[in-house]
Amino acid sequence: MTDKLSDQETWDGEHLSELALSCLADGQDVIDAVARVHAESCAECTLRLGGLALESHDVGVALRLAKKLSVQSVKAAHGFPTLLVAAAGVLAAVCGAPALLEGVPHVVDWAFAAPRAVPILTSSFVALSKALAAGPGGAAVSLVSTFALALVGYAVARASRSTGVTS
Amino acid sequence: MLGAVFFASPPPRGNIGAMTTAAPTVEAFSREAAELRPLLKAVAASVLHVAPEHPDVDDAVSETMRRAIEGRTRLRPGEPLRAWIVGIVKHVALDAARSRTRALKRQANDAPVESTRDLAARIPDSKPSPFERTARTQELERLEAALGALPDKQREAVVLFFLEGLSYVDIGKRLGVPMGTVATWILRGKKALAASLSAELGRRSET
Repeated sequence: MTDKLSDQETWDGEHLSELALSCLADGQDVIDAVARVHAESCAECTLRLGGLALESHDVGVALRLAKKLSVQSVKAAHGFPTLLVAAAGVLAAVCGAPALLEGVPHVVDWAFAAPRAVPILTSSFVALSKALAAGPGGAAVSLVSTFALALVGYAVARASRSTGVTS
Repeated sequence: MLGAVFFASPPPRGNIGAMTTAAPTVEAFSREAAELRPLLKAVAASVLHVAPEHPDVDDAVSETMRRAIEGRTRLRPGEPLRAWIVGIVKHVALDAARSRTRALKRQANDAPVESTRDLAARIPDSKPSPFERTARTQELERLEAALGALPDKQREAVVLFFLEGLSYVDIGKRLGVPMGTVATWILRGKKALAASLSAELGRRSET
């Protein structure tokens, strides 16, 4: 097996073949010195070499990026404890089952009571909010709510960044 | 007392030693980078669409060498110098091409001086927008599909070259095929993968 391209593979008429230029663009020492000198002295071959080097560079960068992202997504998939969450759900369902079953006979009562309860609860909430805002703790309540909202926003942004494509 | 002061201050020999240790590193780096000069010239000429002897090409290559030598510490261990420095020359040449286009436009139109808002709008955002991220994801999916569509041995050769950093000769030995076959596989693979990429991705993925 030879480590150099043959003349037939290297030359395409007076100029270097695309194969030879591609090897040069990839930094492979597989063409002879005459061809190497030609690549540096012939304007046409130099321009083609530049184009191939750019193409090679872009493909390499994109492949490395694709590999990096696929590694990240595999890590992310492994990072979520699906089994543990499922086990916790099952445990919660088992523990809560007696209470839920006890409540089944009252479901009909709740269904009738709910339409009356919603307006009462809403008006109570509005009254409470007004009282708090008017009182001395009003400013504090606004501040705490703003802070809580900002925290929630930050958490959402973090979560979307960790699941999204990173640069 | 005097002895304490003398030993507390850094001895001059230490500085000289540090310089001599650092000097060969710069020298070796410069030598290695200089070997890539013909390739950098070719890339710059290709980006600028001018003859390799054009002064702009020399300027771009010199600027690239300067940036590479100054920023050599940013080259991560194991990262190929060739790919890194080609990335630099591409950016330098693209910047030069943009400046040239702007200068030509200004000359042709006798355009008024740009407002601060226009200048601010031209400053590129370092973070990709959601649209860019989506486009990039789609392009990478196309790239993966194109890679998956390559024949097995050809795909293996492309992966060994671009991701494992093996030479054509080593790939040939590993796959049991002549080096010329590897060169052909990689050339065809590059063409297929490049077709799945837009020029924009290559630019953005380096940021």
